[in-house]
Amino acid sequence: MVRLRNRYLLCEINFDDQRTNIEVMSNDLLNEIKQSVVTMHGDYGIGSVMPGFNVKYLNPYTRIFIVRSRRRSYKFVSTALPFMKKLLDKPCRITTLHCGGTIRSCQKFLLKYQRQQLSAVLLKCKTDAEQKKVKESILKCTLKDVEEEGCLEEDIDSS
Amino acid sequence: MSKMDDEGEQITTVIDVAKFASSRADEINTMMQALEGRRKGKRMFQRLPRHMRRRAVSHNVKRLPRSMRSQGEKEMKQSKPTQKRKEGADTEDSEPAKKRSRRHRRRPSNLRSEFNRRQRRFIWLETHLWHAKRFKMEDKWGHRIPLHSNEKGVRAAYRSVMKHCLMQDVSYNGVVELVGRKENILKVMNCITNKETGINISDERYLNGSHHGRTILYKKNAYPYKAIGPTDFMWNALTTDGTTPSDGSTRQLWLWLHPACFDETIAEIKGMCSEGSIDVSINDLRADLVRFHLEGPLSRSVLIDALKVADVACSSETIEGRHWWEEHYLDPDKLAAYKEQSILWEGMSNVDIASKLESSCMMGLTVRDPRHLLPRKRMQAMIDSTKIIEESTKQNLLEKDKLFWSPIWDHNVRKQVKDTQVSQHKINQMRSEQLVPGTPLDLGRQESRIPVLILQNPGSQTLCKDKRGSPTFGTLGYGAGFDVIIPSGWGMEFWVAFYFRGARAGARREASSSHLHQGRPEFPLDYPDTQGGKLYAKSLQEELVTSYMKKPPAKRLNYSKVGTENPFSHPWNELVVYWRTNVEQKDASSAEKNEQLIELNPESENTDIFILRSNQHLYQLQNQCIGKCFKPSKKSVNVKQPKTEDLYTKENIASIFTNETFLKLKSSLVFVTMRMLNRGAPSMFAMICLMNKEDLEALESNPSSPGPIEPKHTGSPTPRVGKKSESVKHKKELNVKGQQSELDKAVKLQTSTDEISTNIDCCSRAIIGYVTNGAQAFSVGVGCSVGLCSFGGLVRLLQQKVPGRNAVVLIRDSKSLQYRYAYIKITTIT
Repeated sequence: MVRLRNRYLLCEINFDDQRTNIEVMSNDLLNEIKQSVVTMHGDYGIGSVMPGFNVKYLNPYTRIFIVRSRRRSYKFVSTALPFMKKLLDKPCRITTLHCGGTIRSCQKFLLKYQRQQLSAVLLKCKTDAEQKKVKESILKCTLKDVEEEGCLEEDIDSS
Repeated sequence: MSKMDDEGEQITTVIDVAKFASSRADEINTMMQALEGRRKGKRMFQRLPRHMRRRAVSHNVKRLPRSMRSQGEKEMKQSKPTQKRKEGADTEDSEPAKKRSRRHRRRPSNLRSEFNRRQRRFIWLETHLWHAKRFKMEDKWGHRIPLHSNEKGVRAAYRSVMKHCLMQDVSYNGVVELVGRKENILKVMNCITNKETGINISDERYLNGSHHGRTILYKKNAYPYKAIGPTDFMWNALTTDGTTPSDGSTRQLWLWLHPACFDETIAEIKGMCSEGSIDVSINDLRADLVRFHLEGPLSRSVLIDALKVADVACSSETIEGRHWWEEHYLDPDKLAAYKEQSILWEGMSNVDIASKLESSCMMGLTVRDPRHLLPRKRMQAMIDSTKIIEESTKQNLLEKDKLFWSPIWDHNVRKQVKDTQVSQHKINQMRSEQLVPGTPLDLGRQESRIPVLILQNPGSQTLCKDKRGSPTFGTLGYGAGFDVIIPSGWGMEFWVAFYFRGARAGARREASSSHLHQGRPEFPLDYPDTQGGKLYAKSLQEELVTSYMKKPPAKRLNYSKVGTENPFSHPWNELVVYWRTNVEQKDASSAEKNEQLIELNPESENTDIFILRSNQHLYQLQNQCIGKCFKPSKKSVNVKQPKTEDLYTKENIASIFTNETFLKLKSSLVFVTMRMLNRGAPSMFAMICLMNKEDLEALESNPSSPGPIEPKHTGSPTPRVGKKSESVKHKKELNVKGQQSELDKAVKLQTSTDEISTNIDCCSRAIIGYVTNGAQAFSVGVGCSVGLCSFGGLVRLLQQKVPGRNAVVLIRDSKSLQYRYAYIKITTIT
């Protein structure tokens, strides 16, 4: 038996009203996606998607999740995801960031993405307090990025 | 992303950005941890990327990348099981000891150190390695002694003793050397030995060093109680200075002792010397000498072939370059002795000379290194009877007075002989360097000369006139042979030399058998009045009990049903006590008797048992035993039977012994030899019993009658220690307890090693003694055995016996119900 190949979809949930107080549970998420697949692809779709379909990672604060499905049926999932309009009765939008063959590749991608996000936010900071906070966070997460930080700060100062 | 920015711009609050950033930061951290956390797996090679993983990395460090190899090695060491550490070792050292390769362990130097380590537990004989490959070994008396050959060879061993040559390494017997003036030594020895046992240690025969003798040692002035053990003693013919002895010169006495009684003897002698301040120095020569015991008619030829007299002419001018023999034989007396000895030895192959050798004589010799004389192949040494010796030399050969002089008595000589021994390796090298391969090495002056001492053993001295009818077994001269005493360090060389000449190697089993066939008591089993004998009996009992209990209960013999109270031990104490009281009761017929009894009672309160060794008394007893044998005769023999009233009268007893002697000896045991009438070969622990009137009648009418049968006893169930039977478990508590106690009793009765009172009266026939060794005697074709009987029982036997006939007893094996008839005889050999 040749090995089972999976696809891991790295996605982000964006709620329309930007409230971050919503605690999303993996079960709710899973059910919503399933619902979406049923709507889009019907019985055949859900039937082929169901085996090996689960949420591998979910961060309710950053609203990032990794969902897994089999390689031959992942397309059903990936095409049904954009049509997922609400989550926990709240309108939302799902953005697929990355699709990888392993969780590890998704994690790598996520790491890169979040770093970019952080540096972007730093640039966009308007008040000093905000800047300070962002800098703190950056310091917290990486030690290697000290040089980059320095550069970034210079950029900020200059601008 | 742009959307994100838009939205971020729309509702950007301080809190939002902070939260955003912090949550993002957390996630980054998590991701980093997840990515870095390849630390799954205990070993480092489990963390390697997939493309660098290799099979068999766990025990082959080279498969790891170089940078990781050191780490890998460390991990391998840790994972290996640590070797067992002894108490003295480092407990901090967590590194396990690496077991070296088999090849390394077997390198000669390492092997030697391993052997030395093993020898600390039990002392090895010099010939240990040779024996260990061919014999079953056992640990006894602090030594590792061969028990018997790996091959079956009981009959072969007997044949060797009868016709060829059997040899044993008896070096576990150690020597105690007493050095001092003759008077002082005799002072010591007279307290611990007694003339009554047959041999006088101060006899001229022994004093001048020409003969060796055997005697029994006792504790100081305790004869006949508190025996220590037998010893073989020999005096040095010369003084310690090497001169002929005169009054006041220091003499040497060697006592050969069995290891079971060695320590006791030394302690006793030392105690005596210090107490009485006797000026005798005591040396322990256990590690100094090697002794081989050769038995059989061909032992003479083996010795003649293996021991060749060495040339001791001195050729060195200076003192430094001299060997020990050149020094020693500068003295003209000693040189004369050497000449006498060499002439005698050459003449030994002649029958006329050899037959005149005195019994128990000693001979000294200085011989060549036996390794140079080793025959190519193992052969049987035969006597060269074609050798002609002049009549003139024959005549006075054995009357020379220096035949027993030997340099082996001098410890300096022994040390030099040991130190100057050329190693086997060197000899092999020299042999390989020979021009013509196979020529014997001629080392001349460099060759070792070894002083040896040869002792003659007379063997069995009982006459067996008529094999069928006589009460004896064995042949005259059975077990005769020589003992060779060699300085230590040379044991293996001489052993191989003898072995290659056809001497068969024997061990303890053959020694026991030899003693049995000669009718001699063997230390320590036949000496239960000594400490060594008691300890040996106890250890034997423990061994037998454990092997008995190892068998499943269904396969064990239930001795209580057979009527054997003590299947694994000899209850000498109980036996003696029983006969003492029994006979006293029966003899207390007259008032006079009673008075005498009471008089002597406080004196003879000594409840120690002792073995009667006084030759005089033994002769008296023996004469009573001998008589005619039971043969099937056509005419009915009219034998006058004693009336029952006469059996227990004063006169009857007095005819054998006086009252006083009888009372003195009543606590004694007597060593007896028995020969079966018809069938049966008794084994150890068999019971010697008195006949009933019916048995005697049956025997008279039919000399080949099988003998009475013991009625079956009810007995108790087979002891089962530790396990409760099923039925017991189900019963109620009360019942359980009752059952248990019965089982406990049965267990105690049969397997206890404590002193419990055995009931001597348990069987239908009265027990007078026990067998200590028995077998089928090949010389006469019937069973023979030796054992000990209580004196009281023997006296009763002699009273009951038909006058004019041999004394007959019944012997019953511990495992059977059948009694068998046997002639009994008392031996007077010490």
